[in-house]
Amino acid sequence: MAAKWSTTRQKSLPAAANGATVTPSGTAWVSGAWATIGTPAADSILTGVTYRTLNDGYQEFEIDIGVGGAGSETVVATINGYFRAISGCSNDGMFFRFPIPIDALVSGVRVAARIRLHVTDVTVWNVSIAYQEKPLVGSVQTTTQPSRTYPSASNFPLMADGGSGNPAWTNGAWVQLAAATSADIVIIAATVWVFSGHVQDFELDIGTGAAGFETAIWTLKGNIVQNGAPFVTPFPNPLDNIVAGSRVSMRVRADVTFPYGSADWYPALCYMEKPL
Amino acid sequence: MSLQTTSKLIGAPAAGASITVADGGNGWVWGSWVTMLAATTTATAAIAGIALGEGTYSTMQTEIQIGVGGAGSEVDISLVRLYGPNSGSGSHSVFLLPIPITGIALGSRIAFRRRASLTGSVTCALLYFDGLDSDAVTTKKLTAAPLGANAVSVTPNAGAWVNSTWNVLFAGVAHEIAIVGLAMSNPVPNIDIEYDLATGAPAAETVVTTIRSACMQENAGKLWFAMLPEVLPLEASSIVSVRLRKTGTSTTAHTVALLYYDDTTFLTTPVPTPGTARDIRRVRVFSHISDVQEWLFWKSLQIDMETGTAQTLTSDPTVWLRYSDDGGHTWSHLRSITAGRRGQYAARVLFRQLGRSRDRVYELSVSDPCPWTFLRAIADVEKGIS
Repeated sequence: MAAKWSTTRQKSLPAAANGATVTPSGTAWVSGAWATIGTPAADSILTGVTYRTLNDGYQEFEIDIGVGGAGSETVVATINGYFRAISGCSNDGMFFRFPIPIDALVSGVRVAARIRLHVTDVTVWNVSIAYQEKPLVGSVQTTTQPSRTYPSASNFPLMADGGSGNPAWTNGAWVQLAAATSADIVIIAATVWVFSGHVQDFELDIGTGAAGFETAIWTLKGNIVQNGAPFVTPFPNPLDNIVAGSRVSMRVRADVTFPYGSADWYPALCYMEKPL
Repeated sequence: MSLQTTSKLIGAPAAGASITVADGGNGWVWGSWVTMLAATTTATAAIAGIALGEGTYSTMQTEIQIGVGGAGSEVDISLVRLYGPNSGSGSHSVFLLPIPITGIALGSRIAFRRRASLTGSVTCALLYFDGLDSDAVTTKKLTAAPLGANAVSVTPNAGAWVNSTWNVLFAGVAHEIAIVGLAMSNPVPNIDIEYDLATGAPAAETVVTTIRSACMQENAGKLWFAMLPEVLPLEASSIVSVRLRKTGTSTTAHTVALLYYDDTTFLTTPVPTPGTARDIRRVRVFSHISDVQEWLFWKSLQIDMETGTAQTLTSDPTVWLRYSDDGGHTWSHLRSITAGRRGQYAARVLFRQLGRSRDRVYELSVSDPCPWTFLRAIADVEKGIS
């Protein structure tokens, strides 16, 4: 597999229309009802999910994409993220691009979406998908594995940075995302949000290993403030060195110094199980 | 080897604040090169992307050039064009390249320089792999159109989800390019939006892909761009145009710039023969095929081979077939079948209705400059009674 390329056109569903109206359940981490996105005219691969909402509060979310008739939907992808305050949202953050597209859309079979939040808000979301019809022309790696999330249908874990009074860039403590992976996994995206109004540079580590013996296997450097889009970073080259049974954790360090003090951070991951 | 990697992504400066990369002032003037990494520590380092740090900017179109080499002798290896609505916003601050850049010598200094439509304060960090075990890499430059100029203004139609007119993003060059995505502004809150990209002369555009995005707040967020799921190669001399359609009736203009590779050779399988530009005729003559000289009726002959390895998007590598039923003294006319354009890996090389023979010899020949791999031939043949 060299670099990915394709001359197959990417399309949207729904096309030339607002995304499907998806309503949260009103109960934290309970899925809302499935809403129909549309029906592809050919077997297709799922390349991305676009979403937006007018809820101005802060919320962690998971969106399921499912296929099948009403009442018999099968989840083919789950993505997660966070946003707070629409005034800070950028549009790329509103599109989740699968580094490894999911080969799960079937000609003539309904595609639907549902959402669950960590809050009880019921403001509607608009959700649409991007896809490419098969047969694909080009060199594209796909999978039939669904994307999944750590944590799953629960609050992102609280993660502290190095703490007030410590020098900037002091590591915070590792926070567990998964006690033991159920299979070899490939991480396709990372999310982090911070409860702080101070704009700050940060580094986010993903680590594996038992508590107290974590080894950092990946580091994302970025800049963040609390108001904004979902802070999701898909990995063009997914991270593929986490074997079954691994404990997965994350930690953060930042350029926060007095008088801003430490902040509360909340990380999450999106992954696929192997074999892809 | 695959798209995935076991390699660790790293930020530079490590455990330190992002570094100021100043522009040269309003109007797309380059600032000075700024060291992001003093020296790579492996011969397999790969540049993964750029992270914007703290800064002060608003509605900024900017280009960040990535260079390799000592101070004063930096060599441009890639360019990232971005739209930065508001430095004070949260959100996405990272641009990961669709394909990491390799070919960087051990001990290389990595530097950035920047220019912008409007001057502003921007800090940056480098994201890289200190050794990358994926073969989804390139040594080719990412670039943008327009380059060193303001993005193309696209005025929406006043009707919801009605297409705007087409606007030319790229006038075409004499070689293939590969589209990566868009860097765009959005002046309208709470909308879904679709961008069609097309090739073809004005008034004869053909849509080649669609990028969908959404905007919750105009001119908010740290970085705006939208990427394709994989790069999209286009034929040489392709004019690239964009149109958009969206929620609502606002006709306030959007700006759009194209992100692309100016060289697509890294997307093809290299021709494993010295002198790749020359056509070399390759011929394979089969053994005699007969069954006690009785009639054989040839329904088809399928060549089991690797297909879809053309070096350009427009070439049709051809497999030629002829046969002799008299021991090679005389031959049939030549038949031809395409072995698939680039990426058509499922193309079948299947010759049908090949007549009858008592003693046949097939001759297969190819000459297009692309990799050729033949595995076997499968005949559907029926024996006669005399």
